[in-house]
Amino acid sequence: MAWDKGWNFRDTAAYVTDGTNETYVLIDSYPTTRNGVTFGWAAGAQQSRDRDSTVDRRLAGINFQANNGAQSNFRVDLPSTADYIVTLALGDTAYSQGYQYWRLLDNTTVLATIDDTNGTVGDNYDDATGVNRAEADWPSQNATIQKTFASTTLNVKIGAPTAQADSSTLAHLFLSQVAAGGLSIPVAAQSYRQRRVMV
Amino acid sequence: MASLEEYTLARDSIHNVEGLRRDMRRNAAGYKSDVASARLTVVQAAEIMGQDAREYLRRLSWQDRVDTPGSLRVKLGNGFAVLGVVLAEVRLAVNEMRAAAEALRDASKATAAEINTTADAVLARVAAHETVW
Repeated sequence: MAWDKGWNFRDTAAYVTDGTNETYVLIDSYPTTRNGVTFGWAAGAQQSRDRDSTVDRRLAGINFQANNGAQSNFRVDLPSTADYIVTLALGDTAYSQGYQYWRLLDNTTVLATIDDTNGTVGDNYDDATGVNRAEADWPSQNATIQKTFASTTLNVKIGAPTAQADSSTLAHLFLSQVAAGGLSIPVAAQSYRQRRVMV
Repeated sequence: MASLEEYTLARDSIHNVEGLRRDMRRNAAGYKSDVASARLTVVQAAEIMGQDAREYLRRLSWQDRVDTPGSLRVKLGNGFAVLGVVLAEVRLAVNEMRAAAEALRDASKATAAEINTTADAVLARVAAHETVW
């Protein structure tokens, strides 16, 4: 059975309607269980905002951490060790952010880092590969990354590790399990899953 | 007096149990509204309900680990004593929620009516607690 879970970060649950396999995050603390998964902010002093309910529902709001040298940690309990495809929107539909920092960890092991020293302008988002996408392009053009998790604890840290301008702003995160136990699957099947995640 | 470890064990335990109570009730109401509004199909809702039930039982197992005879239970009890909470009351709540989670996991959820009935059973089994906000 597929395990596909998405989180839309914002301030008010009913601000937009989440898609299938998605839920909202209103700076919920860990552990929160919703949409069949346990997750939440495990550390940090993050804040939340509703931004624009007319854009793609996944980009309608943010949770954020000021780039003051502190970091916030969003944790997801995975159902099993496996490969997961990660979709990301790191940006803000309303304001420019002078610096964006995002790090993906398998428990404590770093799997990916976006250290965007130029930040994002309004209506722009870094995707999971760190490439900047205009808001109108992100739904169809964002690129995903695939990572192997040897533990069942996924951690996402946001906030520059040293003081920088503005805030690191997390709008959307989506995880799609590829194959339990870290098994490899045919490239064609991976491509199918990636296309499906981005719909 | 309790040590920092004992206090933290008790605080996190209450955070987990009372947070789970909130999640179970909110999610039960959500299943009903999501099916009624067609945000989720019956099949999708049933799958999420099963996944939620397994997650509830996993979170309750955390409580089982610290509340079994042994040194951890002593530490937990010392932490609860400082907070003025009786360990037996927490255990009662855990049992109540476990029964609800198991019923949620095992119930037939093949129709919208069964989704509603199952969700209502969670709301009936897991008492609402007042919150500050």
